[in-house]
Amino acid sequence: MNSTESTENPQLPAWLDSDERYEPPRDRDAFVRRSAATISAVLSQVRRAPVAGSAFGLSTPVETFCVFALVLLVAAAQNFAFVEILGAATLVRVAFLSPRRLADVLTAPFQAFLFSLLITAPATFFGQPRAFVVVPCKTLVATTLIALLARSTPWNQLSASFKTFGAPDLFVFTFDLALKYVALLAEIALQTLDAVRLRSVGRNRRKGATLGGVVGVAFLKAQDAVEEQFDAMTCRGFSGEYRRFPVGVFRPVDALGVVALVVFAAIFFYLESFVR
Amino acid sequence: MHIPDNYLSVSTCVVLTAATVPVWRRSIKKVVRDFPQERFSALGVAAACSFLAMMFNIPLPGGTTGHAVGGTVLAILLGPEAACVALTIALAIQALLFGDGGIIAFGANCFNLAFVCPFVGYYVYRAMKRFSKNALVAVAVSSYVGLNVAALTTAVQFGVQPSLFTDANGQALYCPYGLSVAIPAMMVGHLTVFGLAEAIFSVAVFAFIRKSAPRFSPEFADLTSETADADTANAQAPQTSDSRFLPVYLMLALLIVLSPLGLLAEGTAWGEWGADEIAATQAADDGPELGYTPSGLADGFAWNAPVPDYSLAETAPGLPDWAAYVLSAIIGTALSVVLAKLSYLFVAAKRSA
Amino acid sequence: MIELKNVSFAYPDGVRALQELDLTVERGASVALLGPNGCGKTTLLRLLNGLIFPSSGEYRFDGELIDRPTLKDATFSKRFHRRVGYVFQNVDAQLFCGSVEDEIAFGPRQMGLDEAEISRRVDDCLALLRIEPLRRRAPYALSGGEKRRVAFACVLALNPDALTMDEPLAGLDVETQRRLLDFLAGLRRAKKTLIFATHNENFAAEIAEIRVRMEAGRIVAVER
Repeated sequence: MNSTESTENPQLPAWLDSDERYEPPRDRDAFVRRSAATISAVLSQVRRAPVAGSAFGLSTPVETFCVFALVLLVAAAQNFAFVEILGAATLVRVAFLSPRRLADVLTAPFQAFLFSLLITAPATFFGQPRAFVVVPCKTLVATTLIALLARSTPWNQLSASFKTFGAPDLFVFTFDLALKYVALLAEIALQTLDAVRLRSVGRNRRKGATLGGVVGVAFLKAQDAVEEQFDAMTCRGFSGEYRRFPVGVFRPVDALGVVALVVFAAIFFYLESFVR
Repeated sequence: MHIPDNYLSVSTCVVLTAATVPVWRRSIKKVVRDFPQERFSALGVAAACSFLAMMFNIPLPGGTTGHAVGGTVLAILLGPEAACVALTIALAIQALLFGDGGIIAFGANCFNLAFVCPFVGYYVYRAMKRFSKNALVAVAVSSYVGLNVAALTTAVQFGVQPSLFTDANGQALYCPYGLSVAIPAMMVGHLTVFGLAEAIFSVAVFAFIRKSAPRFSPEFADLTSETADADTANAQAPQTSDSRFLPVYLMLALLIVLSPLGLLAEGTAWGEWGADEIAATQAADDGPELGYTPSGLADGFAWNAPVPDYSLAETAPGLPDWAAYVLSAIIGTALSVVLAKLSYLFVAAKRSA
Repeated sequence: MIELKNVSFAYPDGVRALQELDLTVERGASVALLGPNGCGKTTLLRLLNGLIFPSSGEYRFDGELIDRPTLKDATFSKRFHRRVGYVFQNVDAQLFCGSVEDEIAFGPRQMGLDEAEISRRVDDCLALLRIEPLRRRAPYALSGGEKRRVAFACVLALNPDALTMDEPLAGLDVETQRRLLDFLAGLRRAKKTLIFATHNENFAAEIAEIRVRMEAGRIVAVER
């Protein structure tokens, strides 16, 4: 095909009416790909559909309450034995997950653990070698508990269960909105990144600028969405009230959860009595 | 039989680690090729089982202690390669978390406990099965042999140290006892009580699994084929491997609860003394005390395990020893299962690559 | 029911989006707004919903003047918004609650209905649009088609007299479009007033008895 033939098709300019021979220069798009991977991980988190079975088999509000209470106890524990006991209990629960969910649950806590090791490492040089072990272990146990909860319960049910504990409507609404916009922005950013990747057939040395563009687009779109959402709320007669249906009805098994919590609290206070 | 750090010279450790590497590679290769996902739970349970077996210390007159390993029975149930992986996991948890067995000596411990013990025991069992129909006898004998050969290699590793590594004064740098002391000292206990304990433990586990959870092991394939129909009927509700192994988990729970029995044994296993204990040890019951601390031991590498010797006495007051021991058992067990399951992801990634 | 008299609208930047519109829609009528991109369909829908107000001319709903001062009155405003429902083209903007059931219950709750009535409406709307399995899901976790059905459900829960829709069929598969058409036909039989913007002539021909053709902010033809 050459340019003389292209006159048969007067609609298209000659270059568009011929086959293009193109050898792309080498380019590394790991940067764009990794950003995309991170964003889609966030997205899949927020958009998580309910999985079969919650972390401890309790209804969401009870489970949320117990987990938060236990995290508080771990944080407050001065006796390392309590951290170990709760850590052992958590570990046993984790051991029954399937390999994939196991990795899913443990990734973030392990990162937190390593990070806090890094942070507390200097303490050893200032004569507090105990902190080097204690703080990271506490972090590990607490984050694992939270991860167990967050990775088995859809986030919108978590926010609804705050309501059960008397969190103000405004708080729950804000939480829900935040989740919505995380999902929305992630989706926009992902699409924009895909667009960048598909059009990056050559060499793009200014990846940082590209990513800046992606963030910019996402931000502008979010602004539009906020304005439109306000209109949508007006259209449905918003009068400042926001309520959620209660999630999960209390079941007999929830009593077991409360009993377990009481037992852990008792162990906590027993062990703390040995700390001077 | 866990060799602590600084009892073997670094060069010995390097040699033994180098010898174990091909075994690990072969074992991992085999596991990667053959093990389906649900069997990784079995692998974790196996590691947990051995971890718990090693917590049951048995005292001997004279102040030394020992324990079963379970290497042979795991090799029989899951194959020697899988047993090697499981035992390596158990040993790693013991060394890192509980300070049982050295970090530098990790390769040496794996050589003895994760390679020699399961492989020797496994091939003895195979050989015996050819002549005898009684599986339990074969299990008993092979596990006894497996443990003792492993004890022997350990004793030899200890025993060669003083003839190879001494300082200018002729004092040993590392383990101060030669072959003539180490071999009898190690073997007396293992040939009698510990070997017997290993045989009993192995037979008990083998018989229990054959009866309660035959699907745990391909060794019982002929038993499971009959129940296969019943299982497919149950399979409508997707059954996880975890619930199928319920009896095995119950067995682990029982072992955990019983683990404080291991505390009844006072004293230290031969060759596992702390640097502060060794000067007072004797080559023979009526012999003189050693009287010095080998310099390699005094100044060597010391790993600070988070839960040293399965006890929380220092870091966490108020917890009785038995509770700390049970806690250690729970943590070790659960961690074994977690690590085995995580290793599945590694395997899955490898397979898809 | 809807009366536009010589309505014009200009955006603050001076762009004249609507010019001298005259349109009367009786109760129970169904109207398609047709025209090329940017001809002012969406602006008109926004104006009908009281989101923007005529720069000149007047808009009456059921005889009552709808403009900035009248909608300042909260009671009047809420009554008006209850009677006119709006399904946005961008469903992402429309859904903002934590779960689908709460999304549907949002409007009725603002109306101050009692909880029993609210949950009845929620159940009915879920059933009408066949989205019961999505009840507890987060709206932002749904697919495009699912989101649009939820958007319909949450507007319907207000039981509006007039339903305005911006490209209601956009992005839906043939099967879902078919079901939505049947559903809209049902609403017509229930004497609801339907006003929708679309590019789809077939859709307009099937549902609408009045087709309003727009161009550059003007109504160029009204076909009955």
